[in-house]
Amino acid sequence: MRLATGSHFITAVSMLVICIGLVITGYNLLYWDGFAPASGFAPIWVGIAGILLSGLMLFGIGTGGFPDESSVPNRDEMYRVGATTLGLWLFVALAPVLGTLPTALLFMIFMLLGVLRRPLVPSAAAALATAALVYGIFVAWLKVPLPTGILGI
Amino acid sequence: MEILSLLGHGFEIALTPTNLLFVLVGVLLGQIIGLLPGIGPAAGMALLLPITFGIPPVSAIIMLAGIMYGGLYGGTLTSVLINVPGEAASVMTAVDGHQLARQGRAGAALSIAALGSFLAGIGAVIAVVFLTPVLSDFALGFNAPEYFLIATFGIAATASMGTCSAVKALLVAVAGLMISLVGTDPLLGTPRLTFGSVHLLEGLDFLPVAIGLFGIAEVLVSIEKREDLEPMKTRLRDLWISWADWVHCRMAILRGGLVGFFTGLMPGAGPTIAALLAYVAEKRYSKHPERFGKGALDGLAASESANNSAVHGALIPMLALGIPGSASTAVLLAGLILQGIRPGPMLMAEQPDLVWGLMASMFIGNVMLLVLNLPLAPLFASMLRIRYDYLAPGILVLSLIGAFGTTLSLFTVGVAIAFGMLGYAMIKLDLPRPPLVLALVLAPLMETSLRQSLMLSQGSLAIFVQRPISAVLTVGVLLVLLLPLVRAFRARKRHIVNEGSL
Repeated sequence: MRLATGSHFITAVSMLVICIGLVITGYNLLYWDGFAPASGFAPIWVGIAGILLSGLMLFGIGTGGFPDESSVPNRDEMYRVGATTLGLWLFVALAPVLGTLPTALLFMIFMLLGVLRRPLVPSAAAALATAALVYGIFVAWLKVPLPTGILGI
Repeated sequence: MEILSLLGHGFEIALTPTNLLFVLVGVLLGQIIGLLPGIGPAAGMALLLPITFGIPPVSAIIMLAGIMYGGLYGGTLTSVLINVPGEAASVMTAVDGHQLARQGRAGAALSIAALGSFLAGIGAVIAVVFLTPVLSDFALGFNAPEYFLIATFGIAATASMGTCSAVKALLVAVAGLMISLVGTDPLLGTPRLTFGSVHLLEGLDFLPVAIGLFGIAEVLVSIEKREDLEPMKTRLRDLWISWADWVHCRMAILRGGLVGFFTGLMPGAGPTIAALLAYVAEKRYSKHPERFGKGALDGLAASESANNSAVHGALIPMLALGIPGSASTAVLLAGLILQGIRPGPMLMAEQPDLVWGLMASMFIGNVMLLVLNLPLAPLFASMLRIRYDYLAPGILVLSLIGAFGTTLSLFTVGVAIAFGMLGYAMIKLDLPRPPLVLALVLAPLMETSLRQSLMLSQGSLAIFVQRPISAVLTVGVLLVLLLPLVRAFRARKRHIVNEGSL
């Protein structure tokens, strides 16, 4: 099976499994309450619609109705996307410890030097400019209480 | 006459120094966002939504709308000068615009695009001014069944009229409905799909989902591709078109504007499809169809007029009914909700300052964009020389902090990242994202009105065909759902005929 066809298959099967789970969840909730539909009504019907559509998609894959239109990144591209995603999750983990602005600076430096391999001086300038922009908009203007962490900023 | 006097009141609001500033900021940001390949107006609006918390509602909505239509003007520059559409609706512009630039006619391409966008935009805003109140008055007679059907129509039409497979798009819409079920039942208060998490009791906020799906996902794709793009040089004196060019393109602008406006009214069709339809229609009308794809100024004029007209036309169902027809109008609607404003047919009566101020601001914004795009085009073109590498991490930081600003919780930031990853996967798998966002926005209205309808009818589905409007809407929903089947059947028939003739 080709990778793209596989991706359609994985999409359809994943949705099928999730929708079956949704119907089961809805079944455990109250479906009808006196004269009106209750909390389980929508999950059950949304789940049924999803099961039908997933079935149609699987049928379409079987009859060749879903042409290859997905794209697969190469190794370098995967590295950049993976490292960026890791950096984003590290941002969430480090912001309460180090503070939002220092974490934002670290994230920028990590991205520009480590992931995108840009020269040091313009990267540092871009990181500082971003931190200043964040401070100006969110802290000074909108007064958003960003996590400050051990450094107090 | 009443409409003109209300529009006059709108101009009084839009012309206050503060609002004038926000129109300028909006169109300028839109222009810049349009210049960034990979970041569309919906993503830009989602990223900037948190900033609107500190702004009065009228100014905030004026600014967001400015980003929405300004983005289309900005997208033209990248299409013409570097052959990369700044956003999807400029795809057809890149086809002929870049060919014109290679022939030394970048100035003519940019100026006819700006002029066409301006004229079609102004025409569309005039139509918005006169049609929105009529539709809004008509919709005052709507009840729960009509609301359910119109929300269903919006979602179904987005899925079936889009560019990809209807089954895939409908499946994505189902995923959006599923996500909206997370949280507390709106009528009974029972927790649903919360998996015991306190964070999920209030459901998943629209904003982090939109920031993730559009903002973070599009930056991830840009980081993945990371192309070096070298813009073509253009001179200020080139930025004027000849009288012959104007005569050649004026009907294309009119036709493109009309095609764009009516396409924009349809949920899900949006500016990308409008530009495509206008381009194809213009090729049919043209005396020289062989020039299309090789630098046809009229093709460029038609597609640019259509995409700008469509983005304005899409505002009619959003303002009159509270039903967004595209990802951008969904984000605009979310902006209204975040400002504590209830969208729907009562919006015009309850918030006249906002609605009429917004309409007036679009006249002013289009004039500003014409000025920005004619004499200042070389300045914006020079911005294309800044490497996107330096901007992408900054956009990610602003996305995360913007998501944090919505609830002041890092859980929301995690939600934005998770949806960023989902959005990236959807782009790679060629799954459309607008049906998910639209379903997420319309799901509460859809569920509440469906349950209210069934409560009124004591469980009978006949309520959806008993009233004339609901009967028409039911037929509309069924037609929209059948449309992909008809298309598939016709394509199959054509395929068989073609095979037979070989």
